[in-house]
Amino acid sequence: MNPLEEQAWNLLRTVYDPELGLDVVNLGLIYELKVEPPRAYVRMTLTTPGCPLHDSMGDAVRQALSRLPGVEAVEVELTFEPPWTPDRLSPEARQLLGWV
Amino acid sequence: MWVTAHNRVIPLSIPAGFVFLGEGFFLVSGFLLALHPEALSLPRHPWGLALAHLFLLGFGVGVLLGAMHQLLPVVLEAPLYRPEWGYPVMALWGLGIALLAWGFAQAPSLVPAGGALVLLALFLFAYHAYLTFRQAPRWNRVATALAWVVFYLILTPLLGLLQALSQRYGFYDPERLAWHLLAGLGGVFLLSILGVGYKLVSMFTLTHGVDERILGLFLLAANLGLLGLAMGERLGYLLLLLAYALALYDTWRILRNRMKKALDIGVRHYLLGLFFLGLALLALPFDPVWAALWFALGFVGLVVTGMLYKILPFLVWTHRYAPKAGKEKVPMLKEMLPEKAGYLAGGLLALGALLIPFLPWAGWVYFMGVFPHAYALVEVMRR
Repeated sequence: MNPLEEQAWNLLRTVYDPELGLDVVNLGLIYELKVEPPRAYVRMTLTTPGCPLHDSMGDAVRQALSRLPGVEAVEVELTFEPPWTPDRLSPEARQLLGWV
Repeated sequence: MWVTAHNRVIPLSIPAGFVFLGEGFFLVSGFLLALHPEALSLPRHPWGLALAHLFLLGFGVGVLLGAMHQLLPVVLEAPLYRPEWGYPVMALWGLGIALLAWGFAQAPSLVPAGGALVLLALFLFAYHAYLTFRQAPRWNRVATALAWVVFYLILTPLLGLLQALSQRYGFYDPERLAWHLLAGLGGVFLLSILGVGYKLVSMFTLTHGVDERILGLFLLAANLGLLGLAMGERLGYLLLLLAYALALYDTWRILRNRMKKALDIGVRHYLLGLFFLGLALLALPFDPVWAALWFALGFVGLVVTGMLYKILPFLVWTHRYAPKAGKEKVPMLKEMLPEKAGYLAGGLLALGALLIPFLPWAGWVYFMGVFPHAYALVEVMRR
């Protein structure tokens, strides 16, 4: 992972699901991330299709990655293929959800 | 799918308008409940009719309409057909409730006007919901539950209107009051709360892997049960008991599969509401008034107030903080709600609802519960 991608992952860790209090990385919502300045691309999902945070989370991810140096355009693709499952939760997320 | 800017966000003023008008009706109905407990035991008491319509059609349906404007796009995965139609619905419904309640209590000549406005509002809402349903890319059983709710939202006032007309033109039949009550209490509230509850409780507890089959059976049993009771069949009651058992089983499955261990304030209110629903069903064959009180004040009151602690912070967050998310630190939904006030309200409302069939002064306890509840919601708007 190059330093810019590492920075991108760290920025994504600042984007929280406001209901669960967990960031999109630990929730396992990010399927793919490419940073090739001046563009960045994210393929991500939500915990449930039709999630009421549909627009908000995508916009928040776009805003966060817009802070990367040299990045001028961020494309966020929301997908439900494959659908999110709890298996994608990180160990840290499981701990914060009270199961460990 | 590419992210588009706020394609599903509807103006905050629509759901919030319904919620806060509903809260106003909740406050007035709570006050009438405390002031006129005698109205509960006498059929068609003017204050009783006023407070029942303020509570159920004002508070309950108001919050339901506000929530459905937000929830339909979530359940159907499609945007509302014309979100701005929410404003005329709100205006007609709000004015209609005020006229209807005042008419029942003090000025009977206003009842037809109030009823007509509410009916018009609900027809417009139903037509809007129908156009939105048609846009759904796929169907699910929660959508079926919502479609049934829309049907009963129309049927209930039509049956009420039939009652009013029959009284005026001399073909009144007190038996038909039961149809109006069953369609309203059972059709609108039982189906909306338990149908939508499946989706909301699953989302709030981060539950996956619970299929919708039980929900489908519940809808079948509940609808047939309501029809059976309306026809005076004992089997209808047994089917409603079956529907309740299915709802409990579904809730147990959701909670067993949840990923979020701690139950939040909304889910706890929901569970307490289910307890009151059980009480109401047990009481139904012996004392329908007790059953109606536990159903309305306990089941509907607790679930609706509890869901508002989840829905309103989300709405405010979406409009106030979502544009800042990713750029700066924004609050979590839990931080926007003064939970202690919510739990205090829940305790008072539950105690008042539990005792009111035996102790009329418990209406004051219930009324006291409205204040911390309203305070909690005002704080959410402020934070």
